[in-house]
Amino acid sequence: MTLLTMALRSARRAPALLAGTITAVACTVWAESIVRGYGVHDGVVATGALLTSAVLAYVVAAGAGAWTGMRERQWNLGALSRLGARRWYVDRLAVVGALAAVIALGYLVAVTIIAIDLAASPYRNGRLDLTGVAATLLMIVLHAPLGYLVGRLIPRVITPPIVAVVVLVASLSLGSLYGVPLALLVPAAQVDPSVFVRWNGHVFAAQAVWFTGVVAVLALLAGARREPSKPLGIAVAGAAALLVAGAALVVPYHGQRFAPGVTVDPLSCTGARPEICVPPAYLGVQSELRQDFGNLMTKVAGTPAQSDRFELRPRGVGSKPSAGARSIHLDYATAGAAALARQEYIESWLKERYCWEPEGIEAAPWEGIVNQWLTESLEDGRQDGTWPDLVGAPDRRAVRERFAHLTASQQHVWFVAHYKSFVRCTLTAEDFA
Amino acid sequence: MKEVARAASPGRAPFPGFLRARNLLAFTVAVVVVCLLVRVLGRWLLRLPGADATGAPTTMPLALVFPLVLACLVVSAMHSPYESLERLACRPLRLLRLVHASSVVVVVSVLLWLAASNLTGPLAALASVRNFVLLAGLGLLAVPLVGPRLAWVPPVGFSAWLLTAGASWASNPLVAANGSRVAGMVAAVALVLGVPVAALFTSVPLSSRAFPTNRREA
Repeated sequence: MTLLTMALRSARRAPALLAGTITAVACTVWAESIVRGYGVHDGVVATGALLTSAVLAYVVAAGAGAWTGMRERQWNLGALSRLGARRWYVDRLAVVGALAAVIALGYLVAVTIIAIDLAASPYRNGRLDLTGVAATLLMIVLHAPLGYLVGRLIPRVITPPIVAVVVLVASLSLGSLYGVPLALLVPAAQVDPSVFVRWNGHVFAAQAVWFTGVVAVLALLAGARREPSKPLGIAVAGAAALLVAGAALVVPYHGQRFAPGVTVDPLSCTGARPEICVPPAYLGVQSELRQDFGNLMTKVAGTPAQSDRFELRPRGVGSKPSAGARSIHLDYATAGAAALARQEYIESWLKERYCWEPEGIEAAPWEGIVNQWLTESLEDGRQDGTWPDLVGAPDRRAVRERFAHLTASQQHVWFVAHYKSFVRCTLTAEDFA
Repeated sequence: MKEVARAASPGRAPFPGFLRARNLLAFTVAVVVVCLLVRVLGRWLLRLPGADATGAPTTMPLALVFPLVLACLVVSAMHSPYESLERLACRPLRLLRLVHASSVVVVVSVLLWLAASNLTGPLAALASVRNFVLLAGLGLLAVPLVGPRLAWVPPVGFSAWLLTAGASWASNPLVAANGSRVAGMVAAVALVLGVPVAALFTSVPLSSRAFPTNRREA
């Protein structure tokens, strides 16, 4: 019987199939929820979602591997393989290999669904980073023998859950530390990608090298314990060298999974003014931005806040817009996200200082009325959570209602007249008299 | 075997043998070690995916994750290597299982409460104990279905789901504040159902695989 036949037979067994199904469903649901949370169809974001969702695949692979190892040792299943003429490691290789392959297949289902989702979107940007996906896949495959070895080493009922919980917590906690070199030694991690960054493919490759070294050393040590031999000793030394080399490659990246610098793809602009220029991944939210910023520009016409062109750019490095334009920022492209960009524009471009500082706190309630007018929440009486509750103060409520009942042109004239007071956070009740 | 024989023989106190079969000593040591870890590492923050309502990264103290380990320990403590023989015991073991399961949950809850008592804020000792009760109840409910060896899968899977993609920050029962009535009620229901279910329904009919007979298959 060939190794492949044995592996296929093992793969048909219920635990492997169950683990593969759980991996496929869990990773797909989580990755999809992350992609939908961003609202952008971008290759970096989709790859990041897949890398994050791989946490569950690691947990399943390690837990199922540990359970297989524990069960094999507790029930002395190795005695069965000793009855045959095959070498002792062939059976184990078939069992663990089948488990790892089925779980990897489950993860590939998730990858395929996300790739199809990305390809089917009319507003897509970039493509999946295959280096990252391949490295993740390799590390998923390696978690099964890792769990298996632990299960064989400590054949207790509690071993599989402990292995699963440790992998879960390590992935969620240690792997998510930013800027910490050792964090990259944990393969799984939550990543917060952005349309404006690119993956650092070297990190994934180095992680894969390091983790292959870890599992190879453990597996070879287990083999050397059973059949000590010189070639095996050399193999252990080679795997240890691989481990050290991988670690040495990973650590200098200082926890940076993204390539340094910022990439801004060619922007697509609307024809009408104000022009809204966005990267391709944000085309879905462009019309919403156009409407919100169009209304805002009508209100602030004649003041320095007015602009005819806005460019969606990253914050910080790369935020500088082209001549005559102003930059706006958005992390997500979900429905209603344009309002966040508008609010950020008001705070960053219209305001000279933050009204919650001690010097401006007296003006904050009155600034809140204008802020609500600019963000179109004044008319419907909604309260803006970032500003003081005006309903509780009768005098302020009266001012607010009076301002709300002015005509649009009266409100505009008032705003132009009090623009400087607004941007400096020095509005008072008398300004509304 | 001796423990089961002692447990099954009339006139002898069965509980010590019953507990020895469930490896009480190792269980106690493991629980104490985990509680010490809660005391030492409980304040460390675990970063979770997503952000809360204010946009800040979501974090939870590790003291709220360790209950998952304790729940797995409790569920695993229901396992006995002599399970098949215990089904043949003349003395009904359901009462012993009930006393064992409920006392284990109570003792672990108290130890966890003491271990997490150095925590302050909205996610403190009470939330930690509530998480343990919820996850232990869930695991105990699974014992009759999948057996004690695999009953850890539902609590671990449920936790992994909640800590990753399963629930928004606001509706996640694992990170509900100490005084959250809904989370407390859910945990209480899980425990009230889990303990008796694990105790009373674990004895499934003997399978032919466990006790092969000489009867020829038709």
